Amino acid sequence: MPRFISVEPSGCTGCRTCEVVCSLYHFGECNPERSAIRVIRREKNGLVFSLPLVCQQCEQSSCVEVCPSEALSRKSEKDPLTVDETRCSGCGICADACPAGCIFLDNQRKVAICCDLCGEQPQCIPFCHSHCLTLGSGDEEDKGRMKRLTNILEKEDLLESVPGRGGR
Amino acid sequence: MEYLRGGRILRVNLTDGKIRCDPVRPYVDRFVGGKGINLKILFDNLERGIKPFDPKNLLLFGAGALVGTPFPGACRIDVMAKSPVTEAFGDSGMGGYLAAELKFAGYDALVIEGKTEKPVYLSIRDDQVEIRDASAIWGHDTYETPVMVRQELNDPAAQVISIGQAGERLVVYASINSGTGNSAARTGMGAVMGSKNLKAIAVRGTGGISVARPKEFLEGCRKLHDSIKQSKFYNALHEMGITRLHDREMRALYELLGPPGKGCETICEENFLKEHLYKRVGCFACPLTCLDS
Repeated sequence: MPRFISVEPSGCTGCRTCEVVCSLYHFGECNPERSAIRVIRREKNGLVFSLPLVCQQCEQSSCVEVCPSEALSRKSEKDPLTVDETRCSGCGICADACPAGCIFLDNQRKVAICCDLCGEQPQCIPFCHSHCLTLGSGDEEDKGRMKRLTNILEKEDLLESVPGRGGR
Repeated sequence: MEYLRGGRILRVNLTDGKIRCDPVRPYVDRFVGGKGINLKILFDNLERGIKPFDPKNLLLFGAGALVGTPFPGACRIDVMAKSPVTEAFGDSGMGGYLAAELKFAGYDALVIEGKTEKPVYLSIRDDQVEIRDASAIWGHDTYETPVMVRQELNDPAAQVISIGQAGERLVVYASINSGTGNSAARTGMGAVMGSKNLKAIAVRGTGGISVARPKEFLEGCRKLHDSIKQSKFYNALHEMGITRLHDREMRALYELLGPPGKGCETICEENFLKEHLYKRVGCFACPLTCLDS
């Protein structure tokens, strides 16, 4: 199992620093729309719900299975998911297939963006001040981590408007 | 393309509905922050001797150079106009997400001039700027208005600021609020917005802000972030937020006025947070998160 960025939902304050850090590190510009981690933030009667969505590096990835151009792959079981940008057509089927919409589309270049853990040191984690994002080892028995995210989204009635599905 | 800048100044004339974009270039050599650019625009464009509620008064929103980057705490928007409280220079500011979203939409400053006949709100979505009818939302408060505007625009992530009933009725100290308690409340900017019949501003940007040396910038931000976290005031502010400040104020007041009556001992920050805190929330890119939700 590869490592992954573990999300502790109760901690997120919705500051969106992780989004800009991600796009700045990968593309050299601050643009939340070109980030592999996206904070879904909703205001309801003055209360704020926020949750970062980032690839959970599932063992059996539905995004890999559905990709028509075989652009998504893992080098080995221990490596994070990578997008082959020469193959990716930007169809967005992977984003639809991910249960929590944790894979996104870069609208500028029309390719999928997925968390690559920045090599070995995810840049967003040191910027997260509320201990919401931590590096999960992947060895622990936590097959339900995607389920945990989808449960929260379902409870908040946001499952259909996650960023991967054209929402934000 | 300018580094750290959206690149344009958006000018909206509400009287004739004309929308114009000016380059921000002439200002950036002399002014870094939103305050400086705002002040220069106000100084150059405001006519001498006009009244604060005159349609010719300008309402300015300005975002600084670092807004929209991961620089810790760079989130504020500066609001300026001729103040109805003092009839002189009025300047206020607010945190939240509007400034960053404005930069992502490609604007460093927003200039509102003129006055409409009917209540309107302004919708900015990158290059699409619309003046839309707000008769249906006129009269609602600053918590309901963002919800209604987002619903109408069908964009749950749009950042909305609005005025409440006080701004509509030109109460001179009225504030401009976001939906979660950030407010530009000094010097009556809400009343100036109300005098222009502008109920709300909704912004959504999908562009980016370029940085000259991203890796070094990121490294610098991370160092600053770490040093903020190691500050001795950080934990108290991070966990208790503004509530701690109010608690201290209250305690100082007790010392002046004598001990509180029976039953008042339970009024303290710990109890308040235990019973009423839903979640800590903050502003864009700010590690402090001093607001309660």
